[in-house]
Amino acid sequence: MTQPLLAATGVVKSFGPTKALDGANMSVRAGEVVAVMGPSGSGKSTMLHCLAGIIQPDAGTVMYDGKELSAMPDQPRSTLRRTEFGFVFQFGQLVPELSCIENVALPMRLGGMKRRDAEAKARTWLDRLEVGEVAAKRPGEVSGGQGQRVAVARALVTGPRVIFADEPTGALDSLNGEHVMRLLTEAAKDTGAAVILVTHEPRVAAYSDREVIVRDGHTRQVEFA
Amino acid sequence: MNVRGWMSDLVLGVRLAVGGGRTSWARLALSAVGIAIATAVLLVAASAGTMHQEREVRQYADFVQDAPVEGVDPTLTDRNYTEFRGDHVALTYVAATGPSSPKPAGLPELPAAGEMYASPALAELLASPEGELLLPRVPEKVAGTLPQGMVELPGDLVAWIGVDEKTLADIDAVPAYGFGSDPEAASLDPGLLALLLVGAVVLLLPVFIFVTSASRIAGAERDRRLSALRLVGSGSRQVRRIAAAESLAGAFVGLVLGAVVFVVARQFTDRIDLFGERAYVSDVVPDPVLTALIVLLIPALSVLTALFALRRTIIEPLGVVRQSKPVRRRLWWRLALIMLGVVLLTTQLGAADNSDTWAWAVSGGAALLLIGVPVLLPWLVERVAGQVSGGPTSWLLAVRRLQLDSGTSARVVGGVAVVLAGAITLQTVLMSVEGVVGLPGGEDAPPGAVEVSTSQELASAVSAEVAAADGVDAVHTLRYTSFYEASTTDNAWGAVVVDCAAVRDLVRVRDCTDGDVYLMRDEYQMPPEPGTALEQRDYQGTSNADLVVTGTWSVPADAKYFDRPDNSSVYATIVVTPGAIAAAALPQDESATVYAMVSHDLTSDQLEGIRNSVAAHRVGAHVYSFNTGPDLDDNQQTYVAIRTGLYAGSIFTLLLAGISLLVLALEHIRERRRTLAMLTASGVPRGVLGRSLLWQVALPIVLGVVVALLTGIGLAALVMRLTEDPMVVDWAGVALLCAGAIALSLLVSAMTMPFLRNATRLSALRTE
Amino acid sequence: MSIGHTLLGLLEGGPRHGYDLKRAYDEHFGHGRPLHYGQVYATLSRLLKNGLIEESGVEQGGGPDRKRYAVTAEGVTDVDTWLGTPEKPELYMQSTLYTKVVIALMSERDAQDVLDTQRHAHLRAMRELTARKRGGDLADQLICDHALFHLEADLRWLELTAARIDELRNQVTS
Repeated sequence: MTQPLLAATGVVKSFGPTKALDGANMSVRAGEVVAVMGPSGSGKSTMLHCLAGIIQPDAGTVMYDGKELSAMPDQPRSTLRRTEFGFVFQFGQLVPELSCIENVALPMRLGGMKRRDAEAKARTWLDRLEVGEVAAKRPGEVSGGQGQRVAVARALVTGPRVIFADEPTGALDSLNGEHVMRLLTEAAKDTGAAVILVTHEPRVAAYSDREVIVRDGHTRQVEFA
Repeated sequence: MNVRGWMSDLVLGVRLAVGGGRTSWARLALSAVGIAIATAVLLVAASAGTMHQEREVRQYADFVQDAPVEGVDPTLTDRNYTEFRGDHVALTYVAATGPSSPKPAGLPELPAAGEMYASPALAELLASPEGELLLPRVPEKVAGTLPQGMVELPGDLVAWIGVDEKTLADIDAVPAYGFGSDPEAASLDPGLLALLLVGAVVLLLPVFIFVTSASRIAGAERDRRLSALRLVGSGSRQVRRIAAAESLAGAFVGLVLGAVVFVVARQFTDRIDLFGERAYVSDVVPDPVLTALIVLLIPALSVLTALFALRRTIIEPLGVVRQSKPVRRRLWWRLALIMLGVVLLTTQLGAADNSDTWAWAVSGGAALLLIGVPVLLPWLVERVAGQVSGGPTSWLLAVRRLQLDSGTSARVVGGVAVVLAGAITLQTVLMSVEGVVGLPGGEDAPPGAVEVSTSQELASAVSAEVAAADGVDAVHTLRYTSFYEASTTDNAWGAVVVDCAAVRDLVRVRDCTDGDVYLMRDEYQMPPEPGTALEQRDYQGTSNADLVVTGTWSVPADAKYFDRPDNSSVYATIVVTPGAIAAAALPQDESATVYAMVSHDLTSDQLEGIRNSVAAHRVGAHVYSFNTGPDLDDNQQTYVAIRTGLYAGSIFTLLLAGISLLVLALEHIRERRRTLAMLTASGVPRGVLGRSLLWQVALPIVLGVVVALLTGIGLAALVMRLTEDPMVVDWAGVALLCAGAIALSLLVSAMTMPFLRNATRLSALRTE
Repeated sequence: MSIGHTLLGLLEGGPRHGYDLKRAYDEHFGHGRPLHYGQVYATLSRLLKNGLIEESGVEQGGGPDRKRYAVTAEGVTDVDTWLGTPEKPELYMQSTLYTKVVIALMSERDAQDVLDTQRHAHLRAMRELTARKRGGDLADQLICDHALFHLEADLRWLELTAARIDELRNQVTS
C-alpha cells in the first residue's frame, strides 16, 4: 500500500458550542476517488474543508504530501489550494461577471500565466468537458450542468493533485449529475488526481473507489475487500 | 382599479417599507436623510426671493433725497465708513439745519451732536473689550439702537452719528430733504434667480442620486419580496405601485424631517455666518407657491425614481428578471445636451449683455454643461470598461463587473463629478477674480499701504499723526490732479505731485532730483509728448463746454519716459516733483493723499492704531488700507467664504457619494458572498478580491474626475470668455479636489475590507 | 430471512419461553404474519442441537411446554457474525435488514455498524454496475440503471433508518 497523499488524524473542529468533528481520521492516496458520506450535519463538509486547508482544525493534524497542512500559515495554504488543489462546489463558484473561459483561466492567470496561454489551455479543458461551445458565455447564460462542467474544468485546469468536490451534482438532475461525475472521475483518473467527493447521493458515491462515513463528528473508513 | 384597491396597495407598500427588518429601516433612513437634505436646501432656495426683497426694502430705507423741497430745512448727511478688523463699518454723519429737518422713518429722532444710534452688532462691539480700538473713531454716546428696518443684515456694523452743522457744511455734505425710496425692482433679478436654480440643480443632483442608490440597498431582497407578492396574485402594475409606495414612505419622512431641519436651522440664521453673511430670521420665509411645489414634487420625483429603477426589471412570480444585457448606451443625445450647453454659452442667443435672455442663456448653458457630466459618465464608463483588456486578475474582475453593470456606480460618481465640475468652474472664475481681490500672501500682492484722504489744510497735521503711528515705515504726501491737453475737449491725464523721496519709494525711480517730471508708459494710456501744453480745468456745469481754465502748465522738454512698474501704488500718468510746477498753478481746494508705507508684518492692532491716529479729524480724514496684513476686507472675506463654502460643499457631496458607493460595494459583497467565499477557498488571495473592489470603485471615480476636470475648466473658459478676463486655473485647488476624490475611493474600498474579510471567512461556505 | 438468528438475538435479552419468543417475534417482525408454533419449536430444537442455546429450566405446573431457553456463548458469536455480514445487495431485502437493526438495538450492539456494513456492500455493488455502465451500450446502461435505482432506494431507506435510529431504539427497548 502506498503512502497516503493526504491524511487527517484525530481532527477536532468546533463551531461555537457544537463539535462538528471530534477526532476524525481519514486518508486519501494519490489517484483514488473517495466518497465522504453521512447524514446531513454530520460534519462531511467540515471534514472536506479541514482536508483542503480551508479551515484549521482545533486539534489533530492534516498532512499533505509530507507537509503538515494544519500548521501552515494562511498565505502558503492559499497558494497551495490554488496550485495543488481544485474545487468544485454545488453551485455559485463561478464568477458571474467573467465569461466561462475566463473563469477557467482565472487560477492560471492568478498564477501569473499570460492571458493568451491561459485561455488556450482553458479552451482545451472546456472541450474535454464537452462545454467548448459555451466558452464566451457568462455563467448566468448556461445551463446548470454546463456550469458545473465549467467548474470542473476550472478545478482541473491547473493540474491539481487533489480535487475537492462538495456536492458537485447537488443542484443537477440525475442525468446531468452523472454526466458531470463521469467526466470528473475520468479526467481525474487521466491526470492522476485524487478526488474527495462529499455527497449524500448513493448513485454519485458509486463513482468513487471507496467511501468514508462521517457520523457525529467521527469517521468510519470501511476498508474490507 | 378602484381607489380602495389603490389605497390598500399603498398601505401594503408602506408596511413593507417599515416592516422588513433592519435593512428596510436602513433603506428608509438613508432615503429619508437624502430627501430631508434636498427639502431643506430647496426651502432655503425658495426663501431667497423673500430674503432678497426684504433686504432691498431696507437698503432703500435710508436713501437720501437731495432734490430741494420747499419749506424743508435739509439734514446735512455725510456717508462715511471705516474698517475694523476687516469688517465694514458704515457711518452716516448727520446734522439738522432747522426744526423741520427730516429723518429716516426708522430713526426715533435725529441724533444730537455727540450722540449716535448704532446697530445692535456695533453697540455690542463697542461695549465689549474687542471694540476698544474702534472706540476712538466712534466715541459718541449711544443714544439707542437702530431698528431692523435700518440695518440691512443682522451682523452689519452701522451708526447714524450726530455732529454739529458747521463740520458738515465745511466738507460740502449732501443736504437731505427726505429719506427713503421704494425699491426699484421688488422681485429677484431673473438672472440671479436663474443662477440660483442652476446652483440648486448642481447641489441637488448628487442628493437625488444618493436617494436613488439608497433605494437600491438590499435590492435583491426587495426583489424577492415583490416576486412573492406576484406569486400570491398581485398584478405586475400593482407590484410597481407597491414598490412606489415604499419609496413614498421615505419621501414623506424625508419631507417632514427636511421641514424640521429648515425650521430649526432658520432660528440661527441671524447668529451664524453663511458665506460671510447673516440673515434676519423674519426674512427666511419660503415663497408659498414654491413651497407647495416642493411638497408636491419631492414625493412625485421619488416615486418616479423608484419606477425608473424598476424599468428594466420584470417581476415574475418566481423571481425577478433583470435584462441581463442592458441596452447599449447611446452617445448622441448625451453629446447633443452638452453641445446645446456650449452653443448657449458661446452665442448667448445673440442677446444683449445682462438682459434676461442673456442670463437665461448663460445659466441654462452652464446647467446643461454640468448636467452633461452625470449624463455622459455612464456612457463613458461603459465604453472604457468595454475597451479595457489585459492587466492583472483583480483588474479583470473589476472591469468585467463594470461591463455587466456600470450604470449605478457611474451615476453615483456622476453626482460627485457634477459638483467637482461646478467647484472647479467657480474656483477658476474666482481665481481669475482673485488677482483683483489680491488676497494677502498672493505672489503678486502689492506691498501693504494705508492711504489717508484729507484736505490740503489738514495734510501736514495728518501726515505727522500717521508718521507717529506704530508700524508705519515712511509717510509721503501725494497730491493728485488732472491735466487736460490745451484746446482739446477730452484728452486728459492723471498727474501726481510728489517729492523725490516719494518718487524713489513709490515710483521706484532711483536718481530723482527735484524738478524732474516722469511720464509713465503703460498698456492703457499713452502719456503726453514732452512740450505738450496742458491746462487745469474746473467744470462748472453739466456741459463739457462749460469750463473755466484755472491754470496752465507744459510738460517740460526734458521729461523722462518711464515704464510703469508692476503693482505701483501711484495711479497717475504724469509724475511731477514740486520743483517742476509752481504751487500756484494747482487748485487749492483739492484733496491731499497721505500715503503711509507700513511694515510687511503689520499686525491687526497696529493697523487699527493707524486708523485711530487720525480719528480726531472725523469726517475730515478718510482712511483706506490695502493688503495690510492679516485682516481681510469685505470682498476678500466674501471670496474666502465662497471658497470655503465650495470646499465644504464639495466635501459634503463627496461624502454622500462615498456613502452611496459604500452601500453599492457592500451590496455587491452581500450578493456575491458565496462566490467570494468559494474563490477564497480555492486559493484566490483576498488581496486580489480586495483590489478588484478598489478598481471597481476607482475606475468610475477617476473617469468622473477627468470628466469633471475637463468640464469644469471648459465651462470656466467659456464663462471667462464672457468677461474677457484672463483665465487663471487654481491647480492647487483642482489637485486638492482630485486628491479628495481619489482618497475617497481608497477610503470606501478600505471600509469594505472588513465586510469582504467577513464574507470570505470560510465559514460562509457552511451555509448550505 | 433467518428466524434462527432472530430468535437468538431475542434471547440475548434474557432466557425466555418458546411462547414468549413467538410473541416478541410477532410484535416486532410479524407484521400481520405471525409465526406458527411449529416453526418456533423446530427452530429452537435446531439451535439447541447446534449448541447455540440451552435449556435454562422448566417452570413447575406448566402447560404443554414450559421450557425456558437461554443463549450460549456460541449463540452470541453466531449473532455477531450474522449482524456483521452484509446481506447480498438484492431487491426487497429491507425486512431482513430491519430485523438486524432491531436485533442489534435490542441486544445493545451498534446498529449503525450494521447499516454501515450494508451500505458498503451496496455501494460496492453499485460501483460494479456503474463501471459496467461506463463501458456498455445503451441497453446495458438502462439495465444497470434499473438495478442502480433499486439499490439506491435501499440505501435511501438505510440512510433514513440511520437518521432515525435513536427513535427506533427508544421504541424497541421500551
